[in-house]
Amino acid sequence: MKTPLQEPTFLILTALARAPLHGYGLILEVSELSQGRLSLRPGTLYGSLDRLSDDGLVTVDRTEVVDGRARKYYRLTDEGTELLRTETERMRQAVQVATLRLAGGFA
Amino acid sequence: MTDLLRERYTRLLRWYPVADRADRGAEIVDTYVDLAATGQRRPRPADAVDLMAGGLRQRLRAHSALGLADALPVAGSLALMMTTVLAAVWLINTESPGVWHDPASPMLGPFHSIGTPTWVAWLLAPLAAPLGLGRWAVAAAITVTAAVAVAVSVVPWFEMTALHPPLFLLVAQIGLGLAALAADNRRGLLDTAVVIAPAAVAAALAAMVVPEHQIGREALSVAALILVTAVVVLGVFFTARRDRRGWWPAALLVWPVLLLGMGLSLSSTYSFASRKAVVVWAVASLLAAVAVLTLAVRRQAWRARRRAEARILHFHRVAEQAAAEAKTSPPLAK
Repeated sequence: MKTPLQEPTFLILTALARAPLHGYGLILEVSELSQGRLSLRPGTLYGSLDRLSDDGLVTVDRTEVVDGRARKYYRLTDEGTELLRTETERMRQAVQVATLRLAGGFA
Repeated sequence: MTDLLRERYTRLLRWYPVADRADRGAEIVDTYVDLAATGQRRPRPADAVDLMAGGLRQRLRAHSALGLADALPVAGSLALMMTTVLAAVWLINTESPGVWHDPASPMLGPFHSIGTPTWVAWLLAPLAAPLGLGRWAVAAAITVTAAVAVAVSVVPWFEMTALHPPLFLLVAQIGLGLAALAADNRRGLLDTAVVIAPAAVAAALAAMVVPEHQIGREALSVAALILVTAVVVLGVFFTARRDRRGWWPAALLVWPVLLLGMGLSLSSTYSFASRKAVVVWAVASLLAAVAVLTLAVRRQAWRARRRAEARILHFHRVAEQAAAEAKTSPPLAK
């Protein structure tokens, strides 16, 4: 997958970094991470999950049956974790440079 | 209540391929029901659009042609830039103080041309982007353009404003506008607003030196040329970067480019006068564009199938080779 990642993709990967989540949980987590700015709709979310799965970044962790409904939980693959780590480091460096410059320093 | 809502969401899954509906349908509907507000009885319009877009995307995925969906925003931005720049040209061409206006001709309020509300609507569209209303503004501009196109077609010319826009020009604007609906609602339209600022200035300068009697023809040829150059450059760039958008922007903009070509191909008198010629051209070019897209999607699916078959064949060969080597090599000493 090409970097830099688009914001929804970055947030989906970030949401899955802590623990596997099902679709509904992922939507809530992404909304919280973006402070309510980004609310994914299920059609968009599952399309993104398929794409991330095609790229080997996300996979189905397990399926649980709750109230007679099957819920699939998704998790990051090792490749997904590595990509998120790389992207986070890239963003961290960019933020560091910007912070230094705003403070009047050299970078 | 929940069962009824579930049933209504399930009905919207018809946009998805059968395999996806079987594999994922229940999961998608369950998530919608979980997100539904208390007492909600029907899917929201935005949910219906989301499911339609999701279903169509899955159909493209089934054909290994997701690049087409990825290319929609960039094609939309290009189309929007073009519509806005052209609108600036037409506005200056008709309302500029330097243009001669027959004092006896009817006016539309303060305007010399019935086309002016159209051009103003297009120029306002990118400005609505910061409010998150960009797509609504584009839809409104398309509606105004379509209304003016109908007026130009049915009102006799002697009752019309002197500088009314020819039908071929309005139809090209509508075609570009429909493509512009694919621009990213906020970011794409914002980018467009930034990019078109210098372009609009250039358009204004160009319009001032274009003689009045040649209204639009030079601008149309330049617009077609810019659009073709842009998609070729993008195609080469995306292909070099192995970006799956590849040449999809070019395939998506076939119809607008053909519509821009209409004003150049038809003779000046003919294209101004004949509604039939414009309608025939618009429909024929739409059919040609749909055929190009369909063929491109099928070719992509065929190439993906070939690649998958080649991979399987390669694995078989490697496995056979490994088995043959295992047979011929001496057994390991115990």
